[in-house]
Amino acid sequence: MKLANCFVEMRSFLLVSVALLLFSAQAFSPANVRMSRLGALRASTALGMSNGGVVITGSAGGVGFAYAGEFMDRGYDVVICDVKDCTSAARALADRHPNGKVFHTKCDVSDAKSVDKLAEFAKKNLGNVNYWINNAGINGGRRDLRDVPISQVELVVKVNLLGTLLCTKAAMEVMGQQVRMAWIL
Amino acid sequence: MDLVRKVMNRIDPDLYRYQAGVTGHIFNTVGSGVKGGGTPGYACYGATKRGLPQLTESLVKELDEGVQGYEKKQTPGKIQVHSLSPGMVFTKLLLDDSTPELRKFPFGVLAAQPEEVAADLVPKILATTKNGGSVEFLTTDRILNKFFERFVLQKKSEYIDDDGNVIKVPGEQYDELGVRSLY
Repeated sequence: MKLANCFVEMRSFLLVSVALLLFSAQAFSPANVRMSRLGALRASTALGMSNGGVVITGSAGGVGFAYAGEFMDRGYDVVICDVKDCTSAARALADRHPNGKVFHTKCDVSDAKSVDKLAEFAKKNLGNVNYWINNAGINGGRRDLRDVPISQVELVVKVNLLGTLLCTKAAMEVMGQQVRMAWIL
Repeated sequence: MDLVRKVMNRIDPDLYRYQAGVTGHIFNTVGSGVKGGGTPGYACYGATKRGLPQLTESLVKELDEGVQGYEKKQTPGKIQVHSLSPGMVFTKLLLDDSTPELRKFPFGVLAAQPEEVAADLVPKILATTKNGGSVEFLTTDRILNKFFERFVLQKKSEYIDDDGNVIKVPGEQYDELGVRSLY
Protein backbone atom coordinates (compact mmCIF):
# COMPACT_ATOMS: atom_id res chain seq x y z
CA MET A 1 0.00 0.00 0.00
CA LYS A 2 2.67 2.42 1.11
CA LEU A 3 4.79 1.66 -1.90
CA ALA A 4 1.85 2.26 -4.24
CA ASN A 5 1.14 5.62 -2.60
CA CYS A 6 4.75 6.53 -2.99
CA PHE A 7 4.58 5.78 -6.71
CA VAL A 8 1.42 7.85 -7.13
CA GLU A 9 3.06 10.76 -5.36
CA MET A 10 6.21 10.45 -7.41
CA ARG A 11 4.20 10.35 -10.58
CA SER A 12 2.25 13.49 -9.76
CA PHE A 13 5.48 15.24 -8.73
CA LEU A 14 7.00 14.35 -12.08
CA LEU A 15 3.95 15.51 -13.97
CA VAL A 16 3.98 18.84 -12.17
CA SER A 17 7.68 19.32 -12.89
CA VAL A 18 7.24 18.51 -16.56
CA ALA A 19 4.32 20.91 -16.75
CA LEU A 20 6.38 23.64 -15.07
CA LEU A 21 9.30 23.02 -17.41
CA LEU A 22 7.09 23.22 -20.45
CA PHE A 23 5.37 26.32 -19.17
CA SER A 24 8.61 28.17 -18.67
CA ALA A 25 9.81 26.90 -22.01
CA GLN A 26 6.91 28.62 -23.69
CA ALA A 27 7.93 31.94 -22.22
CA PHE A 28 11.62 31.74 -23.09
CA SER A 29 12.26 29.32 -25.92
CA PRO A 30 12.98 30.44 -29.48
CA ALA A 31 9.61 28.88 -30.26
CA ASN A 32 8.15 32.34 -29.78
CA VAL A 33 10.08 33.49 -32.80
CA ARG A 34 8.83 30.53 -34.74
CA MET A 35 5.27 31.30 -33.64
CA SER A 36 5.37 34.76 -35.15
CA ARG A 37 5.83 33.20 -38.54
CA LEU A 38 2.40 31.61 -38.29
CA GLY A 39 0.18 34.49 -39.29
CA ALA A 40 -2.96 32.99 -37.84
CA LEU A 41 -1.42 32.52 -34.44
CA ARG A 42 -2.59 34.58 -31.52
CA ALA A 43 0.21 36.62 -29.99
CA SER A 44 0.12 36.31 -26.24
CA THR A 45 1.28 39.39 -24.43
CA ALA A 46 3.50 39.32 -21.39
CA LEU A 47 0.65 40.80 -19.36
CA GLY A 48 -1.79 38.02 -20.01
CA MET A 49 -3.32 35.85 -22.67
CA SER A 50 -6.43 36.86 -24.53
CA ASN A 51 -9.21 34.30 -24.46
CA GLY A 52 -9.70 34.81 -28.17
CA GLY A 53 -10.83 37.26 -30.80
CA VAL A 54 -14.30 38.50 -31.73
CA VAL A 55 -15.55 40.51 -34.70
CA ILE A 56 -18.91 42.31 -34.35
CA THR A 57 -20.41 44.18 -37.31
CA GLY A 58 -22.66 47.19 -36.77
CA SER A 59 -21.25 47.76 -33.31
CA ALA A 60 -20.98 51.57 -33.00
CA GLY A 61 -24.11 51.39 -30.84
CA GLY A 62 -27.06 49.28 -29.74
CA VAL A 63 -26.80 45.60 -29.02
CA GLY A 64 -23.58 45.22 -31.09
CA PHE A 65 -21.84 47.69 -28.79
CA ALA A 66 -23.24 45.89 -25.73
CA TYR A 67 -22.02 42.48 -27.00
CA ALA A 68 -18.51 43.94 -27.29
CA GLY A 69 -18.47 44.92 -23.59
CA GLU A 70 -19.66 41.47 -22.50
CA PHE A 71 -16.96 39.73 -24.56
CA MET A 72 -14.26 42.07 -23.24
CA ASP A 73 -15.35 41.45 -19.63
CA ARG A 74 -14.66 37.77 -20.31
CA GLY A 75 -11.13 38.42 -21.56
CA TYR A 76 -11.81 38.47 -25.31
CA ASP A 77 -10.29 41.00 -27.70
CA VAL A 78 -12.89 42.61 -29.95
CA VAL A 79 -12.96 44.33 -33.34
CA ILE A 80 -15.89 46.72 -33.56
CA CYS A 81 -16.90 48.25 -36.90
CA ASP A 82 -19.72 50.22 -38.45
CA VAL A 83 -20.53 52.50 -41.39
CA LYS A 84 -20.33 55.19 -38.72
CA ASP A 85 -17.05 56.17 -37.08
CA CYS A 86 -16.37 53.96 -34.02
CA THR A 87 -13.73 56.07 -32.29
CA SER A 88 -15.86 57.19 -29.32
CA ALA A 89 -17.52 53.79 -29.03
CA ALA A 90 -14.09 52.15 -28.81
CA ARG A 91 -12.93 54.67 -26.22
CA ALA A 92 -16.01 54.01 -24.06
CA LEU A 93 -15.47 50.24 -24.29
CA ALA A 94 -11.78 50.50 -23.44
CA ASP A 95 -12.60 52.64 -20.36
CA ARG A 96 -15.34 50.36 -19.05
CA HIS A 97 -13.99 46.91 -19.91
CA PRO A 98 -10.26 46.66 -19.16
CA ASN A 99 -10.20 42.83 -19.36
CA GLY A 100 -10.12 42.82 -23.14
CA LYS A 101 -8.69 44.94 -25.93
CA VAL A 102 -10.82 46.79 -28.47
CA PHE A 103 -9.88 47.66 -32.05
CA HIS A 104 -12.09 49.67 -34.36
CA THR A 105 -12.42 50.26 -38.06
CA LYS A 106 -14.97 51.47 -40.55
CA CYS A 107 -16.83 48.87 -42.58
CA ASP A 108 -19.74 48.85 -44.99
CA VAL A 109 -20.84 45.20 -44.91
CA SER A 110 -22.62 45.55 -48.26
CA ASP A 111 -19.31 46.28 -49.98
CA ALA A 112 -17.08 43.28 -50.74
CA LYS A 113 -13.84 45.29 -50.65
CA SER A 114 -14.75 46.88 -47.34
CA VAL A 115 -15.52 43.43 -45.88
CA ASP A 116 -12.17 42.06 -47.11
CA LYS A 117 -10.43 44.94 -45.40
CA LEU A 118 -12.33 44.19 -42.19
CA ALA A 119 -11.20 40.55 -42.33
CA GLU A 120 -7.57 41.62 -42.83
CA PHE A 121 -7.85 44.14 -40.00
CA ALA A 122 -9.28 41.44 -37.70
CA LYS A 123 -6.53 38.92 -38.56
CA LYS A 124 -3.84 41.51 -37.98
CA ASN A 125 -5.17 42.73 -34.63
CA LEU A 126 -6.81 39.65 -33.11
CA GLY A 127 -4.67 36.80 -34.43
CA ASN A 128 -7.43 34.21 -34.30
CA VAL A 129 -11.07 35.13 -34.85
CA ASN A 130 -13.05 32.77 -32.63
CA TYR A 131 -16.40 34.52 -33.03
CA TRP A 132 -17.74 36.61 -35.89
CA ILE A 133 -21.12 38.18 -35.12
CA ASN A 134 -23.06 39.38 -38.17
CA ASN A 135 -25.06 42.01 -36.31
CA ALA A 136 -25.25 44.94 -38.77
CA GLY A 137 -28.77 45.51 -40.07
CA ILE A 138 -31.24 48.21 -41.10
CA ASN A 139 -35.02 48.25 -41.45
CA GLY A 140 -35.41 50.80 -44.26
CA GLY A 141 -38.29 52.65 -42.58
CA ARG A 142 -41.76 51.40 -41.67
CA ARG A 143 -44.16 51.92 -44.55
CA ASP A 144 -46.10 50.27 -47.35
CA LEU A 145 -43.66 48.73 -49.87
CA ARG A 146 -45.24 50.93 -52.57
CA ASP A 147 -44.03 53.97 -50.65
CA VAL A 148 -40.52 52.73 -49.95
CA PRO A 149 -37.99 54.39 -52.28
CA ILE A 150 -36.15 51.93 -54.50
CA SER A 151 -32.86 53.08 -52.99
CA GLN A 152 -34.11 51.91 -49.56
CA VAL A 153 -35.29 48.55 -50.94
CA GLU A 154 -31.83 48.00 -52.36
CA LEU A 155 -30.08 49.14 -49.21
CA VAL A 156 -32.04 46.83 -46.87
CA VAL A 157 -31.28 43.81 -49.06
CA LYS A 158 -27.65 44.85 -49.49
CA VAL A 159 -26.94 45.37 -45.81
CA ASN A 160 -29.04 42.59 -44.28
CA LEU A 161 -28.70 39.81 -46.85
CA LEU A 162 -25.73 40.56 -49.11
CA GLY A 163 -23.82 41.92 -46.09
CA THR A 164 -24.38 38.71 -44.15
CA LEU A 165 -23.28 36.62 -47.14
CA LEU A 166 -20.13 38.67 -47.77
CA CYS A 167 -19.16 38.70 -44.09
CA THR A 168 -19.86 34.98 -43.71
CA LYS A 169 -17.70 34.21 -46.74
CA ALA A 170 -14.86 36.39 -45.43
CA ALA A 171 -15.14 34.90 -41.93
CA MET A 172 -15.08 31.34 -43.32
CA GLU A 173 -11.95 32.17 -45.31
CA VAL A 174 -10.18 33.40 -42.16
CA MET A 175 -11.47 30.69 -39.83
CA GLY A 176 -10.57 27.79 -42.12
CA GLN A 177 -6.86 28.65 -41.82
CA GLN A 178 -6.70 29.14 -38.05
CA VAL A 179 -4.43 27.05 -35.84
CA ARG A 180 -2.86 27.37 -32.41
CA MET A 181 0.10 25.66 -30.82
CA ALA A 182 -0.79 22.92 -28.35
CA TRP A 183 1.25 20.68 -26.03
CA ILE A 184 1.60 17.03 -26.90
CA LEU A 185 1.05 16.05 -23.25
CA MET B 1 15.23 29.75 -14.47
CA ASP B 2 18.45 30.09 -16.37
CA LEU B 3 19.07 26.36 -16.15
CA VAL B 4 15.54 25.61 -17.34
CA ARG B 5 16.10 27.92 -20.25
CA LYS B 6 19.36 26.25 -21.21
CA VAL B 7 17.79 22.81 -21.06
CA MET B 8 14.71 23.80 -23.02
CA ASN B 9 16.70 25.59 -25.70
CA ARG B 10 18.36 22.28 -26.50
CA ILE B 11 15.05 20.54 -27.09
CA ASP B 12 13.41 20.99 -30.47
CA PRO B 13 10.04 22.62 -29.79
CA ASP B 14 8.48 20.43 -32.47
CA LEU B 15 8.93 17.49 -30.13
CA TYR B 16 6.38 18.72 -27.63
CA ARG B 17 4.29 21.16 -29.59
CA TYR B 18 1.95 20.71 -32.52
CA GLN B 19 -0.59 22.77 -34.46
CA ALA B 20 -4.16 22.26 -33.38
CA GLY B 21 -7.09 23.51 -35.45
CA VAL B 22 -9.14 26.29 -33.93
CA THR B 23 -12.93 26.35 -34.22
CA GLY B 24 -14.40 29.64 -35.42
CA HIS B 25 -18.06 30.44 -34.87
CA ILE B 26 -20.17 32.66 -37.15
CA PHE B 27 -23.46 34.02 -35.79
CA ASN B 28 -26.15 35.40 -38.11
CA THR B 29 -28.63 37.78 -36.51
CA VAL B 30 -32.28 37.09 -37.29
CA GLY B 31 -35.23 39.39 -36.60
CA SER B 32 -38.91 40.06 -37.29
CA GLY B 33 -40.32 37.91 -40.06
CA VAL B 34 -37.77 35.15 -39.56
CA LYS B 35 -40.46 32.53 -38.90
CA GLY B 36 -42.45 33.50 -42.01
CA GLY B 37 -45.18 35.63 -40.43
CA GLY B 38 -45.93 38.91 -42.25
CA THR B 39 -44.12 42.08 -41.21
CA PRO B 40 -46.43 44.84 -42.54
CA GLY B 41 -44.44 48.02 -43.11
CA TYR B 42 -41.21 46.02 -43.12
CA ALA B 43 -41.64 43.83 -46.21
CA CYS B 44 -37.97 44.15 -47.27
CA TYR B 45 -36.61 43.70 -43.76
CA GLY B 46 -38.78 40.63 -43.11
CA ALA B 47 -37.80 39.05 -46.42
CA THR B 48 -34.07 39.43 -45.70
CA LYS B 49 -34.43 38.00 -42.18
CA ARG B 50 -36.56 35.09 -43.37
CA GLY B 51 -33.69 34.03 -45.63
CA LEU B 52 -31.04 33.83 -42.94
CA PRO B 53 -31.94 30.53 -41.18
CA GLN B 54 -32.05 28.94 -44.63
CA LEU B 55 -28.54 30.28 -45.36
CA THR B 56 -27.30 29.04 -42.00
CA GLU B 57 -28.85 25.62 -42.62
CA SER B 58 -27.21 25.33 -46.07
CA LEU B 59 -23.79 26.23 -44.65
CA VAL B 60 -24.16 23.78 -41.76
CA LYS B 61 -24.75 20.99 -44.31
CA GLU B 62 -21.88 22.14 -46.56
CA LEU B 63 -19.52 22.20 -43.57
CA ASP B 64 -20.68 18.90 -42.09
CA GLU B 65 -21.25 16.86 -45.23
CA GLY B 66 -19.77 18.83 -48.14
CA VAL B 67 -21.45 19.33 -51.52
CA GLN B 68 -22.44 16.25 -53.52
CA GLY B 69 -20.14 15.60 -56.46
CA TYR B 70 -17.28 17.59 -54.93
CA GLU B 71 -14.59 16.54 -52.51
CA LYS B 72 -15.39 17.72 -49.00
CA LYS B 73 -13.23 20.72 -48.12
CA GLN B 74 -10.67 19.95 -45.41
CA THR B 75 -9.25 22.93 -43.55
CA PRO B 76 -6.97 23.17 -40.52
CA GLY B 77 -9.46 25.47 -38.76
CA LYS B 78 -13.00 24.27 -38.16
CA ILE B 79 -16.05 26.46 -38.84
CA GLN B 80 -19.52 26.49 -37.30
CA VAL B 81 -22.48 28.69 -38.30
CA HIS B 82 -25.33 29.56 -35.95
CA SER B 83 -28.42 31.75 -35.57
CA LEU B 84 -28.60 34.61 -33.09
CA SER B 85 -31.91 36.19 -32.11
CA PRO B 86 -31.77 39.28 -29.86
CA GLY B 87 -35.55 39.83 -30.03
CA MET B 88 -36.71 43.44 -29.64
CA VAL B 89 -34.10 45.83 -28.33
CA PHE B 90 -34.60 49.53 -27.55
CA THR B 91 -32.37 50.81 -30.36
CA LYS B 92 -32.81 53.05 -33.39
CA LEU B 93 -33.80 50.03 -35.48
CA LEU B 94 -36.82 49.40 -33.22
CA LEU B 95 -37.92 52.93 -32.37
CA ASP B 96 -37.44 54.53 -35.78
CA ASP B 97 -40.89 55.25 -37.35
CA SER B 98 -42.66 53.64 -34.36
CA THR B 99 -46.08 54.75 -33.01
CA PRO B 100 -47.25 55.13 -29.38
CA GLU B 101 -49.44 52.03 -29.90
CA LEU B 102 -46.49 49.92 -31.05
CA ARG B 103 -44.40 51.23 -28.17
CA LYS B 104 -47.12 50.23 -25.66
CA PHE B 105 -47.43 46.80 -27.24
CA PRO B 106 -45.37 44.85 -28.13
CA PHE B 107 -42.32 47.01 -27.26
CA GLY B 108 -43.45 47.95 -23.74
CA VAL B 109 -43.98 44.29 -22.91
CA LEU B 110 -41.28 42.41 -24.81
CA ALA B 111 -38.49 44.82 -25.72
CA ALA B 112 -35.34 44.99 -23.58
CA GLN B 113 -32.29 47.21 -23.15
CA PRO B 114 -29.11 46.40 -25.16
CA GLU B 115 -27.08 45.66 -22.01
CA GLU B 116 -29.66 43.19 -20.71
CA VAL B 117 -29.83 41.38 -24.05
CA ALA B 118 -26.04 41.21 -24.43
CA ALA B 119 -25.55 39.97 -20.86
CA ASP B 120 -27.98 37.14 -21.59
CA LEU B 121 -26.73 36.27 -25.07
CA VAL B 122 -22.93 36.40 -24.83
CA PRO B 123 -22.70 33.50 -22.30
CA LYS B 124 -25.06 31.54 -24.56
CA ILE B 125 -22.88 32.35 -27.59
CA LEU B 126 -19.78 31.13 -25.71
CA ALA B 127 -21.58 27.94 -24.67
CA THR B 128 -22.50 27.02 -28.26
CA THR B 129 -20.47 24.01 -29.40
CA LYS B 130 -22.68 22.32 -31.98
CA ASN B 131 -22.80 23.47 -35.61
CA GLY B 132 -26.16 25.05 -36.54
CA GLY B 133 -26.94 26.20 -33.01
CA SER B 134 -29.61 28.73 -32.19
CA VAL B 135 -29.20 31.36 -29.50
CA GLU B 136 -32.16 33.54 -28.54
CA PHE B 137 -33.08 36.16 -25.97
CA LEU B 138 -36.87 35.87 -26.23
CA THR B 139 -37.26 32.22 -25.28
CA THR B 140 -40.80 30.88 -24.86
CA ASP B 141 -40.22 30.94 -21.11
CA ARG B 142 -39.22 34.58 -21.11
CA ILE B 143 -42.14 35.62 -23.36
CA LEU B 144 -44.68 33.80 -21.15
CA ASN B 145 -43.15 35.39 -18.07
CA LYS B 146 -43.31 38.90 -19.58
CA PHE B 147 -46.94 38.39 -20.65
CA PHE B 148 -47.83 37.10 -17.19
CA GLU B 149 -46.21 40.09 -15.47
CA ARG B 150 -47.90 42.57 -17.78
CA PHE B 151 -51.38 41.12 -18.28
CA VAL B 152 -51.98 39.06 -15.14
CA LEU B 153 -49.99 40.93 -12.50
CA GLN B 154 -50.73 44.25 -14.31
CA LYS B 155 -47.11 45.32 -13.84
CA LYS B 156 -46.24 48.51 -15.71
CA SER B 157 -43.39 48.73 -18.21
CA GLU B 158 -40.13 50.14 -16.88
CA TYR B 159 -39.39 51.68 -20.26
CA ILE B 160 -42.68 52.83 -21.85
CA ASP B 161 -45.32 54.98 -20.08
CA ASP B 162 -49.13 54.69 -20.36
CA ASP B 163 -49.16 57.12 -23.31
CA GLY B 164 -46.67 55.05 -25.26
CA ASN B 165 -43.70 57.34 -24.71
CA VAL B 166 -40.20 56.24 -23.78
CA ILE B 167 -39.60 56.81 -20.05
CA LYS B 168 -36.47 58.93 -19.77
CA VAL B 169 -34.25 58.00 -16.84
CA PRO B 170 -32.66 61.07 -15.21
CA GLY B 171 -28.95 61.29 -15.95
CA GLU B 172 -29.26 59.36 -19.22
CA GLN B 173 -29.17 60.90 -22.69
CA TYR B 174 -31.81 60.22 -25.34
CA ASP B 175 -32.08 61.20 -29.00
CA GLU B 176 -35.27 62.52 -30.63
CA LEU B 177 -36.50 58.94 -31.22
CA GLY B 178 -36.14 58.08 -27.53
CA VAL B 179 -33.05 55.92 -28.10
CA ARG B 180 -30.80 56.02 -25.02
CA SER B 181 -27.19 56.86 -25.74
CA LEU B 182 -24.84 54.10 -24.53
CA TYR B 183 -21.77 56.33 -24.32
